[in-house]
Amino acid sequence: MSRFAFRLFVAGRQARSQHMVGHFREICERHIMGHYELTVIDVLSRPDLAHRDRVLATPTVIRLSPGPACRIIGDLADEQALVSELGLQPGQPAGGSEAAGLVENKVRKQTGAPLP
Amino acid sequence: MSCRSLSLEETADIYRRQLRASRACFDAIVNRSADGVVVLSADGGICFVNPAAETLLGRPAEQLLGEIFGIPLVPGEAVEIDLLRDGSLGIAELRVVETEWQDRPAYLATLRDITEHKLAEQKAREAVRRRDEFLAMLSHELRNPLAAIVNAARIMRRGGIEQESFERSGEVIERQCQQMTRLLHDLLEVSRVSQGKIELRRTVIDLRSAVGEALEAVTPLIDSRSHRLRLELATAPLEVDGDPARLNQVVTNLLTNAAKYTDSVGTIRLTADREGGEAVLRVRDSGIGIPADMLTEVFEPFVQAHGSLSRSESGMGVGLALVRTLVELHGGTVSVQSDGPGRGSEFVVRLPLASVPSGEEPTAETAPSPGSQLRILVVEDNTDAREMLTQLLELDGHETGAAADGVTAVEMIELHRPQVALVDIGLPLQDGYEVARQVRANPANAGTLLIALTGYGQTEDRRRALEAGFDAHLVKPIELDELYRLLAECLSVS
Repeated sequence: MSRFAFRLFVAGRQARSQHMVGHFREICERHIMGHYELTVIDVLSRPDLAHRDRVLATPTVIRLSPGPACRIIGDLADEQALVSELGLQPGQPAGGSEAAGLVENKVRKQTGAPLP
Repeated sequence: MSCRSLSLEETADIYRRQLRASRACFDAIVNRSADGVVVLSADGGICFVNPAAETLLGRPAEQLLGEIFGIPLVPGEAVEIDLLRDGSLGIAELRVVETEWQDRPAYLATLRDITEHKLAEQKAREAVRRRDEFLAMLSHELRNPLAAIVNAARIMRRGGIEQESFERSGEVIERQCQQMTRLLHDLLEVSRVSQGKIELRRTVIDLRSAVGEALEAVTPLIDSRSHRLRLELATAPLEVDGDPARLNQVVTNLLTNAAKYTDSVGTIRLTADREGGEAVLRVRDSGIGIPADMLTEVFEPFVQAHGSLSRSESGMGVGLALVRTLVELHGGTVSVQSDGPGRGSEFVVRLPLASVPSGEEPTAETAPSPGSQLRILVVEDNTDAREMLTQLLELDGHETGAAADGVTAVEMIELHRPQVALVDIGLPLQDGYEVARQVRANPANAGTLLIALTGYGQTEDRRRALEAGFDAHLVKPIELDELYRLLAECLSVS
């Protein structure tokens, strides 16, 4: 298990969403590389998942672990705010490269398309 | 002045009144705001929503209070977010400031609906893209005939070429120019359509005759691609209240479209029949078909279902746009079906049948004839155009004179009293309208038929020309057949 687990909800696969996903992934790589799982969900193709998590708007990031769950809405551009709000500090390494592979699989499964 | 302390009851009353005023004020500002107002707790939970926010989020306050909206990261800055509503996605601008709510730190978020704005922006971008594609297409479409014309002219200038190849070059130039004229004509039509300037000259006509005329125009293209054409026309007249030239254009465009977008040796089927109170025209082809997502778009100007420059027969994407506008002007509808790429398509035009049956068959147009020898003055400032037109008229046996400006034109008409003066509108010294006014001011010139030549075929230009004293109006480049037909009409009347 990775220390961090996120769900990122975006709407559609247009450049803006792709950019958002790439940007969030970059920040994670920079701060908690190897310690996170990221699941990207396109609310247009999986409205059921958005409904399950009661997502009202996108982009939304939910931090599932470490608890308590916390949710960020809106622009993810402010790296510092994101880092402090989500507490992106690497703790004890857990999972490592194996977890990264798992993440990619998950991404493919949820969005139906591989993301870079 | 006496003074007494307020009773508890009185104090409470004052507070109650103040509270009411404060609530009224809150209600007036927040609950009537067009922008959505949402108060969020420090962990992003919804503490308050105003009615506009309920609308934006597509849920009533009871369902929203307590839900986690999320912590907004950048107080102060406006960011764009997508709102998930049942069935549709809205786009909102989110602005956040830090505040307090019931003595705790909170966020005050305002949501402004920018869905319409974003859609308009997207539409504008789309329009720009289409325009660019159109310009690329246009330059392609103009370059092809130009290349042929230039080369033909070069061949003709070489000394010692065979008469046969000389004539062939001439034919090429003529054909390519006709092609360019058609192109320009279509372009002007689209511009007129987009400005709503098309007027119908209605009469009761048999739709089958429009089909017949269109076939004449399109047969060379159909033959050149070795298509098979199957024709099924109603045995009884299909009378509609329409503009014969425009209906001809509708059928021509549909047939041209079918012929172009069907690979060689295809099948085109045209049927025209009565269905209830409507005349229904169907043009079906075995061609490249239309992808499902383009079916509604093909009638938009400058849209190509197969926008590739490689196809030599590619058009500019104006033909079907014209079809739709013209059909709708006639109170009809046009639709298209296709089973997808490679599976052909079928265009269906429905026009209301004319309620009053016409007494007589539409009269066939008389074939133009050059008529007798005439004295014709050509007034045109473009030397090449002037020389070519006078030469052509002379070759047909007419006596010609020429003027290159508006003042000389009037002098020559006064001096020579030609039977016909073909007058360009844009002239040096004074324009064609002024020429007409001066010529008409002298009753002695009444015997001269004045025909305006313009680059624009708009109704407005025609009206101006007639007002200035012209007898008729022709759009350049003029077709001699058309000129002779006009001369025959005008001269027989006078």
